[in-house]
Amino acid sequence: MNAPVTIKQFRHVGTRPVRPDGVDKVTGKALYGPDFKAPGMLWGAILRSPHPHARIASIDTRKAEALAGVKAVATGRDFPTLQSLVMHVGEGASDIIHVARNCLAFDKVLYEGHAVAAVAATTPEIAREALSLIAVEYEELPFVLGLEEALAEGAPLLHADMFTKGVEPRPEKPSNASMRLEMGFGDVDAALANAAFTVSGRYTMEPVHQGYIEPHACVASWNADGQAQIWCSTQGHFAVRALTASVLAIPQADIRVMPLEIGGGFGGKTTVYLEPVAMILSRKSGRPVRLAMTRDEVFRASGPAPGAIIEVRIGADAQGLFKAAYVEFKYHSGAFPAIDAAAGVASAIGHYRIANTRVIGTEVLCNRPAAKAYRAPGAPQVNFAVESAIDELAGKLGIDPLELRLRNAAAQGDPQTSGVPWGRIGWIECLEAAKAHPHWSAPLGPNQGRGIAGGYWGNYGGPSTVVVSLAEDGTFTVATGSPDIGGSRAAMAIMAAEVLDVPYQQVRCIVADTASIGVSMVTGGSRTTFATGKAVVEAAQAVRRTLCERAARQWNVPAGSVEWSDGEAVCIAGEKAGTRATAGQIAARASHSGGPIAALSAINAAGWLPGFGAHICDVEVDPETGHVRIVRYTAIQDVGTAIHPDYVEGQIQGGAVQGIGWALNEAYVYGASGRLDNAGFLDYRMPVASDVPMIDTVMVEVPNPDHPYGVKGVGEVPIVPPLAAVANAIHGATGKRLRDLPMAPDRVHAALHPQG
Amino acid sequence: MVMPPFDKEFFRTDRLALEAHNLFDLVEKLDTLAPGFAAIAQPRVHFAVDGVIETDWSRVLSPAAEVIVLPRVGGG
Repeated sequence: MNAPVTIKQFRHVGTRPVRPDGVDKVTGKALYGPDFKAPGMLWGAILRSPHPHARIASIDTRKAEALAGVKAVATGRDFPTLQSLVMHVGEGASDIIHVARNCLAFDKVLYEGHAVAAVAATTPEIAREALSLIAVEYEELPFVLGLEEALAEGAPLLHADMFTKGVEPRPEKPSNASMRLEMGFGDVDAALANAAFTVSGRYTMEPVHQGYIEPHACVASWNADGQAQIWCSTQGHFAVRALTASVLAIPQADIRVMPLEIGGGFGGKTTVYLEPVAMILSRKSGRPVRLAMTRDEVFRASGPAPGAIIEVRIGADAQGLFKAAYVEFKYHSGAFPAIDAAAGVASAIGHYRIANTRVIGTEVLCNRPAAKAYRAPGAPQVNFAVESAIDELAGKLGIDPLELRLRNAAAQGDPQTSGVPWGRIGWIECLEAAKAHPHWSAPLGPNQGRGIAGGYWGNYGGPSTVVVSLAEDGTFTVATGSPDIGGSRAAMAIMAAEVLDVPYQQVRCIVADTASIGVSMVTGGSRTTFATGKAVVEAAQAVRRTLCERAARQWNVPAGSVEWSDGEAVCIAGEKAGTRATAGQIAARASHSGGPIAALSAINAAGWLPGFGAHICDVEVDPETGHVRIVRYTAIQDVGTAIHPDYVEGQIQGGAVQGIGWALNEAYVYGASGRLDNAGFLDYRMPVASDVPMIDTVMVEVPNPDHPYGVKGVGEVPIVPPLAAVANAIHGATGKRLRDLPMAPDRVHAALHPQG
Repeated sequence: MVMPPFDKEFFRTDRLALEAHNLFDLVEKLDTLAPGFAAIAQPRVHFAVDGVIETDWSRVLSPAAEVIVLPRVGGG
């Protein structure tokens, strides 16, 4: 590992204390979604469509209801009639009707695995038997899986009321294209025509899953008085509350959502699949109901990242300065409109300074599970195409690919594709660090190749609420509304300890439920350490001020004569100058000098900055089998300031490995019947520890001036560059440019041996 | 400046000149031009004011402020 390149001026920020939730997790005591049980709980199960596209003619649940032990059966008709309402909950805007329809189909099933009915019974076995007794009459419809097929004239239409947004004239006929975005500036065609060197290519990939180990799971208990509790594994319990309340048309305050530990989410746990259904079953049965997906259900019914077709054309002058870029992509949305195209447009080519740029993205509906966020949603796909094309251009120009990137890299003040100028970004610093890294100049062995790719992600801020409170003994509790998916409890405790200047162990952080803390956006968008961290700093500063005021009252001195220093209140003037009191001493007398000490910060954090990364990858390709082995991998990233470097490195390593899996092995495979053929980890091949070397990380620290400690989001950037870094390395090893993912052995072998 | 898809989805132009006290006021005026815009503004729109994303819609806009209407992007 490489240490951050700047020297810390902090006491706690940048240190690596043990995570406060670590013991529970390594000893198996931590409660995850599937672990939770409630007294009197029933076991739920969901009946799913075997067809990729069909009209539901009828559902007969009478036999299931008559089965001994069955306490409730639900279908889509148990949901209230909803009016269209676009909500930004989780990671993007969704119409609440689509959210409800995805939880339980109403009149049509739109993909294999689409939920059709649910039961709650006294045992899991009875619940499963009851599913077999539900008679669903389907009228099968033609289905469509492919992007271009879904856009073709006469393609099966998923939604009769879907008219493409973002085109003019406004369409008169419905379409499977839910949205088209086009951004850019300059005269791309003319600049490409005049460029000394151009490259072009078409790149493709299938949808891939986030691959979280813990399946979706919840327990819901909806009382006769209308109040309900939900225990679930989620990246955002406030999102679960808002979506569930909206789907069921009930007040949000009637639902209390308790977040359990989360066994991976990566964007995939920012919506609801089970919670509204468990609520309906609970209301009908009068008992708590548990629903949990099997791995098979996770693959067939939860949202993957979209597959894509991407066309790229880039032109440069003889000196290697980029003159024009044209990028057009189509992304799978699956069964309902998704959110990835806007992010894809924003993440495509903005990391280079190009006077003539056009990026076009189209969201395409098809009979697959509705796409959901996956770590930098929409960015890795388009980046794969762009960074592969730039590698190809470097070859044509005869310029070192890292040098070519440096020559064209965008810097602060340069316009993004939207025209909004970049803030204080660290892209060039990352490339310089890559150039200086020994990996870049290390020798390669036989059949080995090296690739480099860079990429970025916009990150986010958003709403966060935090309460910092002082216990009677002078220890502190930080309560946030942000589920801890990557070590954020430790990061929050570090930031509070930094402000309060007390030992890290004197601060404990909890994730409070929806009734115990104010609204907080999901833990996603690489926002939590930035946004919730800002709120932690604000609240801790308020507590520090209160401690000084209380000390002044307790000492009977003017408030202005007390300062906070080295974790204590210190009187700096008058007769009591030099008198000191710890937080514990002040807390012991707090009840008689104004009451308990606590502070709340509720903010909509602004000032977030994007993160940039440059990845270097060495591969070794077996010419006989086409197998690709990752030999060495270095991920360099501008992290702003690393609050807890272990977790920053962990995020970088995790993102890189997920990207390597995307590059080499992962893809949804559908058969001719429109059914998923690889709905399990045996056939959906994710990387395991033995597949990858230790991912070396370099944390470049270009602090964010809009965060008290300089934080930038780090979690999503590292999945962006690996796809192209691996592809470019394979090209280096073989001379073959692979444009279709995954670059599995059969595909590599076919490229090496086109004659078979 | 109105960026895609909102230019074509609502306004049929990518540039508008409007007087607005703040972004709440601007949303109202944009909704008058294209009814329905206000309903989707909060979930789908980001505003950049003079090159910086502005999350406080109550902040007063200067008379010469340039506002870019952008798709709101979250993350995963």
